[in-house]
Amino acid sequence: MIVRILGDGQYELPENMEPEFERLDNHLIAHVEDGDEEAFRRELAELIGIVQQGSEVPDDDFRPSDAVLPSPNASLADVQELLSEEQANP
Amino acid sequence: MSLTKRLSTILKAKASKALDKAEDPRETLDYSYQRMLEQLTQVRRGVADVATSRKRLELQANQLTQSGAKLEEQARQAVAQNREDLAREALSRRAGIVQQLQDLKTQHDQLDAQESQLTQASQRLQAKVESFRTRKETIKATYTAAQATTKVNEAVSGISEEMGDVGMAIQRAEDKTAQMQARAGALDELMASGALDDLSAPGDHIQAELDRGLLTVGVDAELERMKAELGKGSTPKSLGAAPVDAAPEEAK
Repeated sequence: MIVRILGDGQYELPENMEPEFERLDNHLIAHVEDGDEEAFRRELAELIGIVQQGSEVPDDDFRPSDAVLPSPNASLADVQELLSEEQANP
Repeated sequence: MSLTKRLSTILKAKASKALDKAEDPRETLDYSYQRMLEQLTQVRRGVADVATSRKRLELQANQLTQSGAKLEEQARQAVAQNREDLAREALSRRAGIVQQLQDLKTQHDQLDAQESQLTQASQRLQAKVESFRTRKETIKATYTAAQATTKVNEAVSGISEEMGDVGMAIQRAEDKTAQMQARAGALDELMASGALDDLSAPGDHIQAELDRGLLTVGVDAELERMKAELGKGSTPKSLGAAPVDAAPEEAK
């Protein structure tokens, strides 16, 4: 699957890493909802580490991403702000 | 829904706003390419704006550093003259400057990070634009209506996602730059108010008092020296007396 890290680019994640990706991804939304900044940053860094082990999608590959991660330095507030746009454009 | 799925939906919504699809798929390609070029200009302007803000902060930091050094020197002079009151005032102003300098450093680091992120975004977009131009010409050359829509949609959806991402980076940089400009403006005002000046600014009483102190020391020393000289020949010489006495005699 293809994952975009905002501000960083797209990566192709090998299939065998997808379960771990999904597990952490589900944690991440829980931390956002609980407002647990420390856990959020820790697991975001971990997720980004996993994704960056995948291969970078070349410039002439125009496939859209299956999943989008916040930028590596995003704070909890940044992500909450992004998510608030979801309500604005349902 | 997981976080990355939700963000993906949000990005897609942003992206589809950035690019409208034309009736003829070939027009969509050209239009998308135009929009990419526009965004490339925008992101480059963003990099330049952030750099301008960064330079302004550096200028302010230099001014403050100079004032701080001068204040320290003035405090030293004041201590040497036993003017603890003046030394205290100089040092308290210097403390204000140190605080401002720390703030400036934090802001400078943030702008630096913003600048490098935006520069990277600009480079990524540049590479995508070039690849897209080639792809666009290939699709057009082998254009068959049946395949075109799918191929165009594939290329355009990928590109619009990229533009959505870069667009967010530009937005963040613009917000940050505006915030920095407001702060830099406030600091300029604070500096203009004299609150952070060193004490040699025209009309500043501390330097004036220090100068007067130096002058007094100089005058006192001179006075002592003169007294000592005059003390040797016991009676003061009557400087104007002789000629005045002489004149009437001559007149006789």
